[in-house]
Amino acid sequence: MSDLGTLYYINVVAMVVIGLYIVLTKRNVLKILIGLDILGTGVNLLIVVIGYIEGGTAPIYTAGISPAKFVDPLPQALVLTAIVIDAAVLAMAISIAVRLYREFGTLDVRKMRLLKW
Amino acid sequence: MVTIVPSLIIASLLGGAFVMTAVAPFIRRMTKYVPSIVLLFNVLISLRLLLKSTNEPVVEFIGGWEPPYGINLVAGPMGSFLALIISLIAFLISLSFLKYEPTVEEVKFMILFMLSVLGASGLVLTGDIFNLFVFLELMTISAYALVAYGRGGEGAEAGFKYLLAGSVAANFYLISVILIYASLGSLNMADLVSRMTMLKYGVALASMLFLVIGFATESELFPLHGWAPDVYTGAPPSVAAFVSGVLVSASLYVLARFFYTVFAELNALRSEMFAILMLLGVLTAIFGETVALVQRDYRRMLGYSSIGAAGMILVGLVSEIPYAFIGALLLIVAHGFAKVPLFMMSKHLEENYGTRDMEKVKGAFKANSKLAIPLVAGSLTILGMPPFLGFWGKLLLIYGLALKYPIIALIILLASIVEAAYYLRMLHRLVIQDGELKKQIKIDTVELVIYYAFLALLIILGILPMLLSPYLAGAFIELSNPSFYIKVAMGVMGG
Repeated sequence: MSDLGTLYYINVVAMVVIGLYIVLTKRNVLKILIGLDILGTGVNLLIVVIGYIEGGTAPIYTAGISPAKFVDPLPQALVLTAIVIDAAVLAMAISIAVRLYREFGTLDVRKMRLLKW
Repeated sequence: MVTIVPSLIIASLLGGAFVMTAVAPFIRRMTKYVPSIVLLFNVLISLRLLLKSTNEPVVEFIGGWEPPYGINLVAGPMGSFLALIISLIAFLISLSFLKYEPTVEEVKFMILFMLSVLGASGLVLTGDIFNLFVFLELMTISAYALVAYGRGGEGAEAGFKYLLAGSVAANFYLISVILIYASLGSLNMADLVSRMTMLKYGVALASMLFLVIGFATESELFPLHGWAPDVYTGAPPSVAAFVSGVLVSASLYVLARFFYTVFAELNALRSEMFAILMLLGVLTAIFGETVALVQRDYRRMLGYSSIGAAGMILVGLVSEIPYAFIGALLLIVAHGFAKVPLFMMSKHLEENYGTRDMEKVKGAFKANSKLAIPLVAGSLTILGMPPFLGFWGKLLLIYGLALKYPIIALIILLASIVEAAYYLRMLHRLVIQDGELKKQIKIDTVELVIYYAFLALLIILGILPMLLSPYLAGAFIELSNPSFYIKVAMGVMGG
């Protein structure tokens, strides 16, 4: 494992932890959503990192490049799907946030008390 | 003859949703028929798949890519049984759309409903762990929007909570998938089984824990159930019914699938995880049933009762005892069929009396015997009274558990007694007790058809449970015997 790879893994853990922390502790709907996005991006980064090879190239047969240098293409396909899903979740979340604001006149989750938080 | 393949279920729902989007601006009035037609078609397809599943189960390689490279849809006894239950419940719920003169909002509601059913059906049929993630997201994202359709602030608030819990859970599951893929280089469930022994202890443990946390949240297990009572209270009644009867059962299935099939070779870790899941299930059952006891809100009570039921079902699913496992599958069916009418009936309370507080609506259904009959029957099913299907579920579950874990059987029995206490109290309040309310409730024919269809199913299956037995036994064989599943999924059996 190269140093750069380790750094990426540390980054992944940090992003997931920060994201979770924000989701669990913040009280503003938009801040919570930012936390959710950081969490999701951290997971997406993890997907990219597992396919990473130091000095790797695209997995297309080319003269002079050995197949051992090919990066794994599957994680890239997976991460595209995951990014799209993340975007969909956020779009949905923001539209619900708009409705929350209309209903309650605030984005503070402590003031939304129709149901128990 | 055209061959029946599992992807028809997914294609028809997706196709139906697209058609509705396309034609809604021109002939909006006709769109209300689409969900029922498509879902009836799915009921027939999944029935056909189920009938074939014990002899020559159908497996389909999407795009012709054979496993382990491509995605496969596996209609084994377990998958097609759950697909049939999901389609049936969704079909009967979709009948309630027929009374709409659909507005633009209601057309969107129907489309989202179909997408959510699509996600749930895909979840139980897929044989690929990343594809499972995609179906999970499809199912839950549509469900967040459906929940947010609930009235006023309650709906938006419940939808937001569900979204937070659900998407954190889905991310956890994705981490688990990626850990497995990074170590083993495969995403196909059947292919993963034999590779699992190569997994390092730490990675295996981490991926199992992420999986358990993710799906314990989706299937409302204590202590990760936080979103569930609010969703059941805030969502529109039909959506609350759908979440309780379909989404939770599909999530519980995923836990069973992973620990019976995918992790089958990791024996030591697997039995520890079964113990943890068993404990979670018992705690959930105790917690759900006791908290339901103190609820005054009709739907919140049903919600906590659903949480308790999820715990009982999980205990049966992870017990590795044939009787208890089959009992748990029967409970999935009985609970789904009974909870849908019970949840949908809360609509009559809200519309006629403006409250769901059971103390304030005493005798609400007393003058409405047409509603009281399915209410009583649904409650008795959940309590496990004959002649309803719930009787066999509870009986087999408790009998099976008593063979190996008498103490857990006793706890489940006690939880059932607590359940009986609050259901009977609810029935006493709403049906027997005299209240000021003697209003005749106006009921749509469509709603009565839905209630009585579920009632008929529960009684028919309760009197003739042997109709289901070959498939239930097949489902247990499929799960307890991974080599059977591998043969099916790789297309060695049948076509």
